[in-house]
Amino acid sequence: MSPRLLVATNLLRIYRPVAAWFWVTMIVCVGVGMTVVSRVTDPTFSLWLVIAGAAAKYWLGVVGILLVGLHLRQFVANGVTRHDFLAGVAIAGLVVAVLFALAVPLGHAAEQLLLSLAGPLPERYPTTSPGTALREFGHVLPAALAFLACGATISAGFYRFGAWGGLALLPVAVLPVVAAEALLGVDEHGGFDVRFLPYSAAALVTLALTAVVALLFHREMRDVAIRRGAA
Amino acid sequence: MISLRDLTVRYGDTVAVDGITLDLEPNKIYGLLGRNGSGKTSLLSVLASYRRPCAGTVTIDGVDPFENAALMRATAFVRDSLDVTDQDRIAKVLDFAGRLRPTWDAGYAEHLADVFELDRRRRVSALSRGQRSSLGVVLGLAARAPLTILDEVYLGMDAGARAAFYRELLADYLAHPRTIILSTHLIEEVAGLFEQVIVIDRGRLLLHEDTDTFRARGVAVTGPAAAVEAFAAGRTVLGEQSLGGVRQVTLYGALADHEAEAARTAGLTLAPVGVQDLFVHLTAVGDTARTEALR
Repeated sequence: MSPRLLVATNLLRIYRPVAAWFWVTMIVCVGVGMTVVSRVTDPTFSLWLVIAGAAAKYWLGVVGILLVGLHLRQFVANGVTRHDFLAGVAIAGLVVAVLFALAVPLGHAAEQLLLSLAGPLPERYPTTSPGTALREFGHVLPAALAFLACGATISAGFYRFGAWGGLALLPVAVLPVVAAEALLGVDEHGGFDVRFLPYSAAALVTLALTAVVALLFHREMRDVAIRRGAA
Repeated sequence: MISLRDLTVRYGDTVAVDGITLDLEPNKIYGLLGRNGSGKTSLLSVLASYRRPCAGTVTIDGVDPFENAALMRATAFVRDSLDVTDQDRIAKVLDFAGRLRPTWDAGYAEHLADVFELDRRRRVSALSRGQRSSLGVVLGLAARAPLTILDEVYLGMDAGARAAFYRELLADYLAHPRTIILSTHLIEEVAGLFEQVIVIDRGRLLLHEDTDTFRARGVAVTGPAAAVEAFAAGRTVLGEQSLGGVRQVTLYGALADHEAEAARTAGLTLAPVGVQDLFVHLTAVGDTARTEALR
């Protein structure tokens, strides 16, 4: 197995139980929440989309922050180059982002199925379909990648350049998240809408900014000194 | 062959490693000695590709090891702080190393964990200082990396654990020869393991030679004060002590046979100096002129 795939599989192995706990928590919270809401009123929104749709990208943002401080030295200490570590992070990050983006429309479909089993669907509930599922996936994926790249780049800035250097890079590092939140936002029903720009342009802008920030992350880390302890 | 040429590491205005030039032959055990802040860890960090030098070069068999996948894979660098996740259990740390290191010997790691009485279920954060050091030794030795660098890995170990470490290190080195660099302050304890000694002081290379040659460089001359002073005249004196009319000086530099004979004839007693004593004399604080003379 190539070193970068080795890094990717080991990162996925490390985060597999954490992700499992995350999704179990999501399912329990949404299940309890939707049950309570359904008993009180007819839900006009999808709690899954509201909670899981947002939490999925935030989770990836947190993982991005942890990657450098927690895992870089761990892998380098076992003979992995920074280059292979970064490539492995990119592979694992893409895999997780795709899986998380898939989980959002799948969860929405499951939520709708459970609601329909309990009775007729509320009139204003945002029903899902292959088209809306694709739209949800198309919104969550670029946003999840943006959060991951943003988190990793922010922590890399502080790791490499210290407090002041990290702060100076902060405005650049958050650009993909700003774009994702502004252009690919969530409406009050938990549905995904587009603002200011058509979807394709919004996704393109978000992905382009994510690529730029990912490049900055690579520049920060490609020859960084390995610090002692978690930074 | 590991070659350092004019290697320099700076942190802002502080020069940690100052133009060190050094060649290390493969498959030997090196003792890297130096006082606190002398630049040992910075030097080792560059060797292990943990950081780039500010100036100068490092090559291993003619190739720059920095970001070289094959050479980094062939290097194990264990720092006193341990590069592991504190929340992980020992079993997970060993398993992780085994997955990433092609030369990892899982059976030997288990053996070492038994020797150091490490409970695989315990989290790293729950280990004592000495147990953390033991874990570092397990990671460093079981990696069986062609270049193994152990930076003060004995910290907090009790005498029994240290003895086990030295025993295992020597046995494994004899079974699997490789280049091992040991940085330590417990010089006298480990000196028997070193084939070569490297002494750095204030970031600069003070000396690099075979341990036997190094030992022979120091000689303690004891006798009547006047006779000792006469014998020491013109030689590099590393240290001196007086008690009544008896004087002892520690001289740097091997004595030729006729010089040793002359000393005995003059009623002087010659005795070898321990590696640690020699190191202490060579790196004594505030004696820059003496160390400069030795360079």
